[in-house]
Amino acid sequence: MTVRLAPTSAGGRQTSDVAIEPTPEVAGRGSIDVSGVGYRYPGAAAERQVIDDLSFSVRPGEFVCVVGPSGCGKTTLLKLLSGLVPAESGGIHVDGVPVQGPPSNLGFVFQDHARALLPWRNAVRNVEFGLEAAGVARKDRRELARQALRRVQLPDVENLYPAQMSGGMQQRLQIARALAATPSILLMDEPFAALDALTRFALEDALLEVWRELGLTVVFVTHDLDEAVYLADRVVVLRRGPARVVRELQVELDRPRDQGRTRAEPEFVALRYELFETIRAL
Amino acid sequence: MNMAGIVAGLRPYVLGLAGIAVLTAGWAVVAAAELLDGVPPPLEVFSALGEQLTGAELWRATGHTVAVTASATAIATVIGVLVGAAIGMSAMMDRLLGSTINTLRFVPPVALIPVVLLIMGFGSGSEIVVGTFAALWPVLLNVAAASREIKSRFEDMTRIQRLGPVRKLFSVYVPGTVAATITGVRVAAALALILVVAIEMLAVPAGLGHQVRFAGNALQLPTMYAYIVWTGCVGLLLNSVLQATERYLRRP
Ligand SMILES: Nc1ncnc2c1ncn2[C@@H]1O[C@H](COP(=O)(O)OP(=O)(O)OP(=O)(O)O)[C@@H](O)[C@H]1O
Ligand SMILES: [Mg+2]
Repeated sequence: MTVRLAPTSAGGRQTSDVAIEPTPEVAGRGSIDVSGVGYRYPGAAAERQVIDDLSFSVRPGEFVCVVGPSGCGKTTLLKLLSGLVPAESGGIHVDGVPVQGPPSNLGFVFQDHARALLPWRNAVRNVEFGLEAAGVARKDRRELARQALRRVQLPDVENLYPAQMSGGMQQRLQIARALAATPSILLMDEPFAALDALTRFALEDALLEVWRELGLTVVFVTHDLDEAVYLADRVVVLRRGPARVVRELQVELDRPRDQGRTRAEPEFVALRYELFETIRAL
Repeated sequence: MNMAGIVAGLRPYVLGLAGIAVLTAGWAVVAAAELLDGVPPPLEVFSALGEQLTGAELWRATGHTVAVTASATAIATVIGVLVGAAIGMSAMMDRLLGSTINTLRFVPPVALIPVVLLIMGFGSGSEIVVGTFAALWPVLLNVAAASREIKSRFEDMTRIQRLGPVRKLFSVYVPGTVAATITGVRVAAALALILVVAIEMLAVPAGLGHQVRFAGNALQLPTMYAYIVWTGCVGLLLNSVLQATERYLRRP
């Protein structure tokens, strides 16, 4: 695959089309509020409380990264935010409304693309799948799907099946499907964890570009501290057993960020160091 | 196309025929040396087969056996898909039906033959019932396993996409289980054929099984073997058709 570092913003804008831009009433939305949430998997013993009294909130349009030790409950947190599992205690509100099931303005990018992409559909039909479910008219689907594929820089693979694509391409495809439905919130569960560094850099930049253009709210789980600092407006650190927020780090690095320059900035290095020490102390 | 291309194209068939050639050669040796009683030489069997192939009886018997086998397989497929999908998609249905299915599927279908004959008589109906019983399990178990797999793999995704039950069924479960279903049907058709021929040999006076037994009773051994060979050919053809369908459905 071609790996493009730092997509040119001018070029990226020109290829995009108005139809996929967020509609005005959606643009301002996408707030998340989590207060005092607790969760334990059904049937688990009382001491296996995965999340306890966890609170944080995300402003509309904010890019928040969540980091924490492995197994601390990051995936579980995303499942709670998306309404895939119900909170046991406390409250989760998306745009001020209590979450009862997956909200329609929410997209989810799974850690494992095999659990998201349909192997019997080619790329463009996989993107269309999301639009079918959202009730988009047949005649508009193909064009919207193509736009979404262009947006993640995946333009020439329409007819390839997931099995014929690399891991990075499949993650892009998954992101394209989530974007095609014009969500205002995007939850991402270690989406780039299985990729090589160069591909990851390219996808991080593509994601930031899309985020900026569409004004999305993003909650991005990662175990890569550099990635968290590079992407985020704010990094939320969870501790383990049961998960709770121990620290929130504001990241005020200039945007648009650049893989080379931003990572070399003293502020980046300092934040990364602070994050590392915070997690080590857990 | 050049010669090498033709040779390469025929290679799988040549290899497939090699096994049959070796078997036939072994059979010819056994018959020539008169090692076993009642084994006519292959040439006699093949000329008897040629004779039968030009007559009407073989084709009538073949038509009967194939029709009954196809009916049994079709009924088994419908029941197997419905019940298999139900227990694969719903944990409640699995608990409800699981132990019943696991008991029934260990009942040898041959053991059913006398019972079915008593209840339904010596006609095609009995053949279809026994054939269906044998053919049911491969379809049912394959469909159940495939839908269970699809459910656990795509449950979160389908919920995030807010799929309704109908769309979920037709855009996820059906395409996701169709290949495994055909594999089940292929195994099922083979079992149905075996059971249909068996019940014809034992009791029902029609079809290929009946011809085998009839020729045997009349001590026309070459004809009897000709029918056995022919039954094998019918099975091979049936399997090839279903295998091609399966390959087509499993692309890309
Ligand atoms: N379906 C489940 N049933 C019971 N317990 C579970 C289930 N899924 C996860 N857990 C438990 O919940 C805890 C948190 O799991 P989770 O997957 O949210 O962690 P994570 O932070 O995403 O880990 P990782 O970084 O390795 O992906 C773990 O201790 C795990 O054992
Ligand atoms: Mg996880």
